[in-house]
Amino acid sequence: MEQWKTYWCALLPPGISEVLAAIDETMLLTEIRLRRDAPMELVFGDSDRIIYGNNAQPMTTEDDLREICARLQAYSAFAWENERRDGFLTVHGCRVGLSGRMYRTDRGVLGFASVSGLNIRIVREMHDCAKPFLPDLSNGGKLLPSLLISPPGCGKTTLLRDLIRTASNGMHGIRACRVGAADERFELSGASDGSIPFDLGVRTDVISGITKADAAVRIVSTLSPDILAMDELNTSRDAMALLDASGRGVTVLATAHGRSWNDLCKRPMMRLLLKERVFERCVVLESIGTISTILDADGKEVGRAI
Amino acid sequence: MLFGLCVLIGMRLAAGKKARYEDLCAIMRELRIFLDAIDAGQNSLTLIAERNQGIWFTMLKTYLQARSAGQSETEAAETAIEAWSGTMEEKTAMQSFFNGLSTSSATALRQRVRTLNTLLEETSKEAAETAKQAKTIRIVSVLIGAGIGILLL
Repeated sequence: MEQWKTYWCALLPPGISEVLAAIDETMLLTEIRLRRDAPMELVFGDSDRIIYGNNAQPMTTEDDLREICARLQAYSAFAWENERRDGFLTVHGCRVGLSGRMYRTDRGVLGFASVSGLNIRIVREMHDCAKPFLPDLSNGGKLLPSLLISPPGCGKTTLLRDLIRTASNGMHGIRACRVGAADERFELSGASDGSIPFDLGVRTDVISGITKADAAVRIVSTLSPDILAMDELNTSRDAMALLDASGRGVTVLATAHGRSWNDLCKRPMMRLLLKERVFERCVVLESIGTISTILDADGKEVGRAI
Repeated sequence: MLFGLCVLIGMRLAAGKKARYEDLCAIMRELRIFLDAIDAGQNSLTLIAERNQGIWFTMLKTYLQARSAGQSETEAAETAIEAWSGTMEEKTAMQSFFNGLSTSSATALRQRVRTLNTLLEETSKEAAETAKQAKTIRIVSVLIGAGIGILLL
């Protein structure tokens, strides 16, 4: 049985586990969506399936969701407050998005009063998936500063993880170097409990659990990396941290949401990074398994890869 | 005979009360360690329980194992305190502490520890007082035993 299947089948209630156990791995399940008093939604790349319980009953009740959340947090809700406040839990390297009723006090949003839905994203490690991109993303055995963009769920993080591993181990003609990963949501390393379940290579250091910008500052100033990796560039603080790292001679690898070069140019912080030429390459991923376009710092196509 | 009996009763009483007092003190020490662990950062209850030993941490371990085995919060709380030799009042307080522990925020957890600690402090004071009284009983019983012995001689 696949690693993700073993883990989630043991964690989720029997009715759901039975459905998951029967899924063919070639179908590439990407998301499991559970909603209160509703059927389960399984997402396979671009398509989805709605699964009802016996006699067209809902798949998950309020009690089920409460118990699943308790299990996800290893019965230690206190240790996950910050993540819950941000609307997600990262378990076993998989991000679990939460929906439901949140509460707010004078001090700001404090958390979930009740959870009414979970979106479990299934993560798979894909070794060597970056290999076809390397000729266009490197120069003289050195990775070029690159930005990977795509809509959610198209494999940006998986590709970034493989690029990190490739550079860190020195594989496929890329010279080995030290990599620092700013992993705010534990998705790159899967390291929510301190261990690192995903292989990020032998020369990789990870700072996780704090904002990417804060982690980046610490990585650059204390871990002297050759490459700084950051997943999901979101805020202007993230952008400033990358700009600063780039100015210090560190090669930056990052991912961001977007469908095209034009999408990037609409975001002020991205415009700044592109203008300052923080990135020399931009990979536009369209969807899992399709051809991706590789652009240079001016948005001109320099290559394509699957 | 009478001398021996008086001394034995006095000593048993004193030892029992002293042991209970020491148990409560140990639990309060463990609660302080627990609080420190929470304040120190993102630890899971399982890790905290595994890293520490003692009566209370054993109860915590039992509670978490029961939860993992599919028991509800209330059932797991009952299982955790089952083997503990606290008084009825202490057991009730401990059970309500464990019931809901897994879903408490850090703030709520600290409050729970404080409430439990306050109760244990009170009952431990009573236990200490009774232990003192038991000590007096022991001394008195030795004296009575000795007196009876002298009279018989």
